[in-house]
Amino acid sequence: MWTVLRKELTELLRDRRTLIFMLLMPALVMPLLIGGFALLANYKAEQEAKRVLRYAVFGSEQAPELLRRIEATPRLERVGLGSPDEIRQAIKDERISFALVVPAGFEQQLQQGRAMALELHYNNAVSVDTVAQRMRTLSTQYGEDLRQRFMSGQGLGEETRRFLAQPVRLEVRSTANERERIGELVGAFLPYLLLMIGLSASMAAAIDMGAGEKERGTLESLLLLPLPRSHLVLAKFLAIALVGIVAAGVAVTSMGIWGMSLLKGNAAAGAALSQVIGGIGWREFALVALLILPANAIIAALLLTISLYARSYKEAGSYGSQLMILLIMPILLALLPNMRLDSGWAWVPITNIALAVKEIVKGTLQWSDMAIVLGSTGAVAGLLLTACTYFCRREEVLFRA
Amino acid sequence: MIEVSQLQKRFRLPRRKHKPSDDPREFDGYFHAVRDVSFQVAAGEVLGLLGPNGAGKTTTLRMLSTAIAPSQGRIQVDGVDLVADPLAARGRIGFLSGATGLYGRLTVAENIRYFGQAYGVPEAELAPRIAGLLERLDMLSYADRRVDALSAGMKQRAAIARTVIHAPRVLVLDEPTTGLDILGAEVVLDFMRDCLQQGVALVFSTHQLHEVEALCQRVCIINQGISRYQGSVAALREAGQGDLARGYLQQLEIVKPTPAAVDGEAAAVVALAGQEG
Repeated sequence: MWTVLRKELTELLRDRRTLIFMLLMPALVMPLLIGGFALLANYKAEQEAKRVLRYAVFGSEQAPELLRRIEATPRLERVGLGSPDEIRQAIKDERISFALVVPAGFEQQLQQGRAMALELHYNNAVSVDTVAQRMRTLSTQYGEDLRQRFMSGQGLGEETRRFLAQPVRLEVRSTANERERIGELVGAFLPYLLLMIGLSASMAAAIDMGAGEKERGTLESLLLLPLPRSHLVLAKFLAIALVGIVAAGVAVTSMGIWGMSLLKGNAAAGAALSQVIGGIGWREFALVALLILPANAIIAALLLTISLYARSYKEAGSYGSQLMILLIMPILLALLPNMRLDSGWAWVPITNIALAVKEIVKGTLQWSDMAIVLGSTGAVAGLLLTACTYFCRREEVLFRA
Repeated sequence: MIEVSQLQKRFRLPRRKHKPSDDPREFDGYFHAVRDVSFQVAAGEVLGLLGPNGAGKTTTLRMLSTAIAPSQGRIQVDGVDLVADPLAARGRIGFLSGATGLYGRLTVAENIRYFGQAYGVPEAELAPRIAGLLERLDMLSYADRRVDALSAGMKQRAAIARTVIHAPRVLVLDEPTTGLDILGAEVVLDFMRDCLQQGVALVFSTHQLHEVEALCQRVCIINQGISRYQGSVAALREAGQGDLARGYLQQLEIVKPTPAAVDGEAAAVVALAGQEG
C-alpha cells in the first residue's frame, strides 16, 4: 500500500493542475479574491457615502425649519420639479434620488403638539439604502428637537423630559469577550474556507486518480497488482485526503499572513484579531486540525467513489461539481443566525465540523459535543471508505462501458 | 502451466437492451461474451489466440489476467486456482494489454521500479533486474525520461519491462504489436522468443498470421465466445492445404474446405474477417 501511496504522491507533485489547486490557489488566489472583494466592497460603500443626492420638495413653505435643516445637510442638492405627478418618472430617470411631500399646515400642527407624517418618495430596491439612512438621521434629530422644545414649553423639568423621552433605558453588559464576538464572525467563515479549498484541491487529485487512470489505461495495470483492493483504495484515499489537508493548511497560513499585514494600518481591528489569534493556542490549532481530518476523509472518500465510477475525466468533473453544491449546503447551515453546536447538530456530518470549528475559535467548545462530532464524522468517513472499497471490487463500476 | 476449461463470461445488458436481438450471444438479459473456451499452455510454449474482432479474445485474456472474474469455468495458472486465489495468481502473471499501463508523469525507470516494488520484488534484486531490462530492451538512453515524452515504440518497450519485472511464469499479451512500426513489433517478438527460452508459458492474441507462424507451436481459434479450434499451427496449415490463412478461415466457417485457394484471395478474406465485429 505504501508503494502505491508513494507513487500517487510523486505523480501528484508532478501534476501542474494539482499543484495549482493545492498550493497556488490557497496561498495566493483565494486571499487575493477575498481581499479584493472586501476592498471593492469597502470602496463602493465609501463612494456611496460621498454621493450627492438630488432631491425635490413639494410644500416647502409648510416646513421652513425642516427645509433649512435639509439645505444645511452636506451632499444634498435641491432641484426643481413641476408637480408631484412627475416624481416617479424623475426618480426612474435618475434626475432626482428622492422627493419630499410636505402636507398642508405641517409645522403649524407640529408646534401645537400634533404628530404629522412626511412623504418620502424614493426607490428602496437597493443594497445600500443611502436615502433612508440620511433622511432617517435628519428626521430623528428634527423630531427630537421638536419634542424637547414642546416639553420645555409645557414647563416640564429636565428629569420629567428625560422620562417622557425614554422611560426605560436598557443598559447592556455583555458577558461575551472580544474573542467570542470576533470568533463568531471569523469562526463561521473559517470552516467554509477550509472545507471548500480542501474540496477543490482534492477534486483535481481524485479525478486524476480514478477517472484519469481509466482514461490513460493505467487502472487495469494497478488492479492486477498482487494487492487487496482495500489497500489500493486506501492508498488513493490517503493521497487525496492529504492534498485537501495541505491545501487547507496553506490557505489558513496564507490568510493569516495576508490578514495580519492588511490590518497593520488598522489598530482597532488588528488588536481585535490579535486577541482572537492570541486566544487560539496550540491546543485549539490541534483541535481544528483534528476536525479537518475526518471532514477531509469524508470528502476524499466521496470524490474517490465518484471518480472510480465515472467513465471519463469529463464525467467525473461533472459529478464533482454536483458534489460541491451538495457539500456547500451543510456548510452554509452553520452560517445561519444563532446556529451553535449542540448535542443534536453534533450528529449532522459536515455541519457539525463547521459549527465545532466556530466554537473552538470562540473558545466555547463543549468536550462532550466534540466527542460526538469526532465519533460521528469518523464513522461516516469509515462507512464511505468501505462503500468505496466495495465499488472498487465491482467490475460493473470499474469497467463501465 | 495454464489450464483454461469451459470458461464463460457474461455481462448484464442495460435495461434498454433487454429486447430480443439478432446477436446469439444476447439472451436472458446478458451478453455472453465468452461461452465455452478451453485451452492449455505448457511452460516454454506459446499459444496464439486467434479470432475476429469481438470474438471474445480480449475478455478471455482479461479473465486470465484476473482483471475480471469468470462467470463460470476454471483457470489454473502455475498450479494456482485463479478464481479461488487471485492475489497469489497475480504474482505469477504478467499482463500487457493494448494500453501500456505506464504512468506518464513517472520516468521509464521509475515506472519499472514502482511495478517491481508493488509486485514484491526484493529491493536487492530490483536494481539489477531494472538495469538488465533497460539494456535488453535498448532503453538505457531514455530510462530517465518521463513516459509522456516518449514515442509509441519506446512506450511499448517500457510496458514490456514493467510487465516482466517480477519475472512472471506466465505472460498474457493482448495484441502486443498493434500500433507499432516494423522495428517496434520486431522488438516485442524478439522479447517473446527470449521469454520462451526461459520457460515462460505465453499466450497472446493477434490478427497477424505471420506472427503466429513465427512464434507459435499451437493456436486456439475463438469465434462468438466459443473456442472452435485448438491444435498445432502445422495441422491448421495442413487443413488449409498448405495455407495457414485458409485453414484459419475454414475454422471460422468463412470459407469452405475446398481445393486450395489463391494466396491473395485468402489474405483478402483474412483482412475482411479482421474487420468484423
